[in-house]
Amino acid sequence: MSHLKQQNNFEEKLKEQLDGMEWKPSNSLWDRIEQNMDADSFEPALQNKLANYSLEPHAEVWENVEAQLPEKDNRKGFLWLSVISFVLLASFGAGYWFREVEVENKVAVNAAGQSNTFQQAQTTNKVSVRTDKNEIEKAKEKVSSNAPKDKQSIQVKAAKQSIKKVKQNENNLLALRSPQRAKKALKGASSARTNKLGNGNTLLAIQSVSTIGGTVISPSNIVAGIIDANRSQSVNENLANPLGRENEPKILDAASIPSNPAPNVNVKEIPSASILMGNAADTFAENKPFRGSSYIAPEENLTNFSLTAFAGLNWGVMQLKMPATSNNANIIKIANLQNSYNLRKSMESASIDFTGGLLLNYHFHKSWFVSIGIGMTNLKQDVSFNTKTAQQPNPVLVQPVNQYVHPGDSIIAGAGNTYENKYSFTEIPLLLGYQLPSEGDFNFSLMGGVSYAHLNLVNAFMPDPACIGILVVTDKESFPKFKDVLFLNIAPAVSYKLNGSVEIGSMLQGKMALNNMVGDLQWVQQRPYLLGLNLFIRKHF
Amino acid sequence: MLFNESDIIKGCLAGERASQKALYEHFAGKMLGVCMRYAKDRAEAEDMLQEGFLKVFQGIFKFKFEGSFEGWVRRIMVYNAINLYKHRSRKFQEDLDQENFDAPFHDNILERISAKEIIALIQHMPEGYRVIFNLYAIEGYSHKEIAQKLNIAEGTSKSQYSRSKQYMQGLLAKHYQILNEPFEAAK
Repeated sequence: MSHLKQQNNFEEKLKEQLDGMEWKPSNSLWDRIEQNMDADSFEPALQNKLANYSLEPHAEVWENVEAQLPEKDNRKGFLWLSVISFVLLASFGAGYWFREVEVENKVAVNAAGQSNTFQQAQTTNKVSVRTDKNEIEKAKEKVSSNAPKDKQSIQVKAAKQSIKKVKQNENNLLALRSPQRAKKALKGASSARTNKLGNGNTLLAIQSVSTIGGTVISPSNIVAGIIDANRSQSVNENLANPLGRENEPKILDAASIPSNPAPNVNVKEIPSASILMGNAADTFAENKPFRGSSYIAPEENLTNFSLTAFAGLNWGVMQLKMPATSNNANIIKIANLQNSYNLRKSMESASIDFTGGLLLNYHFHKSWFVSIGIGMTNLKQDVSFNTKTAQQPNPVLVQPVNQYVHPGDSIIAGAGNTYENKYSFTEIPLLLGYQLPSEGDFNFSLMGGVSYAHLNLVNAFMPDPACIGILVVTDKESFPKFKDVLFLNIAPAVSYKLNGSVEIGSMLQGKMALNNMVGDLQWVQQRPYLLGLNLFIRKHF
Repeated sequence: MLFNESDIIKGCLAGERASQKALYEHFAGKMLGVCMRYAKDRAEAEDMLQEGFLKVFQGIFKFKFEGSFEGWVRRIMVYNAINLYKHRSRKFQEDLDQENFDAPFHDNILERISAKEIIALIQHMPEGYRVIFNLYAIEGYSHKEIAQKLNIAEGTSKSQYSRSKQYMQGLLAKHYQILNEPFEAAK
């Protein structure tokens, strides 16, 4: 028998002996299995039971948390709110004030050409009402006399018509006393003046209601009968300067209006207006400028100062530049920074933010002026990137770990994560302006100069030199330390004259930083450029 | 207020107080529930919660925008509780004295008592048991992970968990028995 055959026999015999053999397990084995089976159900059951358990904490917990959080962001919100409130208040305040001035000017203009019409209409109405009432009494007396019955009936009819007209006059008077209706009346009177009929028309209208019993009572008679000489003089004075102001445009006198009577107007009766108006024929002696339907305030009364309130939007770009080689002792760091710089250029894109402020202008020449003021300029940029797990830890972290986002991730170009870089400046501009000569209502001007921009707030995200992690800069004093900026400004503007002292307009504004705003000269240097469009309102004093 | 997680996180990254408060209000209830399991009472749990949220706000830059943000906040709360426990330098041996409970434990006991009662029983556990029991049975960490977090041997974690589990089951059974004894007697 060979050796191989002997080996096969051994295995077969061993197999025969072990096949079908039973071995009783220890008594504790099942307990252990059961315990494990229990474990499988106990833990999941417990987890399910407690999964959604929540409990309302006491209010003091948040108060304590809040007390230990930095206060900086409240200040930021407050500053934003303050600046916005200031600009809004300044804009609306200025707008309201200019509106008030405008209304006042209109009142003056109306007083000159229209309010007086209201006043004289009111005066004349009073006159005609009183006159008519006298005439009614006279008519009644006539009715009660021995006149023939048919004549009496005619006179009674005439008297009734007169009473009706008197009532209409009284209604008109009440309407004139109501400011809103008075405005409508002024509007009507204004159109009368525009038709070059002015006071004559009013008088004709009054004349029409001053008729009684078929008898025309001329306005001259009314004035002669009711208004004494002193009152007449007083009225004339009031009409000449209704608000009692000096340097206000005088009223438009009927006598000075070119005679162009409308059809069916009894021209002979018009001269009586001059009696009512008094001697105001020297109104145009001052040659006040007349534009359209209103007078403008005499420009010679303005000072050399004006105030401009502006607000608008700007489009901001941040120019990035690698630091000069001479500033870097560490060659490796420069190599790393180059990658970060390249990445940052692809991450950052221009965005739009708010700007606004006030400018005080001094007009030292007919065309030239200088401006100084205060403003707020915000620059915003969109920042977007993607991340992937870093192959190695960041070798050159420049800040404590907790001021990084994704400290264990490589930063790559993409749009998976989006943030905003924000810089807010308080700006003090000093500008020189030139206003192009213009005959019309539109003016063109060009301003140029410099402005000192104090950096108030910064909130910026930038990749680390190794492009592992995003550095978050929320304080201008922290790395890489941001500085204030000197801007070169240029601002062409177009404006429209609302009246002699108020302009509204639009201003393009270009700004270029004259200096780098990053303090660490071994870091990527940056200069802001802004292009803005502002709306403004300017008031000359 | 709708809770837009991404916007809130970005607001917190920018340090906005309103976003921090919104985040707190959204997670405070659940996280207090977590802290209650690790603390001996509510006051200690609220202290843990306060400290935990400070760590959340200070370390939110570390969130990678991967996975659940709630899970991330929860992990911070748990780590905070573990650190507190480690800071106390308690030894597991101190907790080894355990009561012998006569009452048998059945699976259906868990179904019949509330989450609030379970939390109260967990708070009755010795601190060493409580931490390991929470980490393994509820948070789902492995013994290897627990050993790393607590700087103990993996075998210690297993043995401690085994004992804490027996302890907890005994507590549950005893509690259930006490609750039902009057009714059983009435029958």
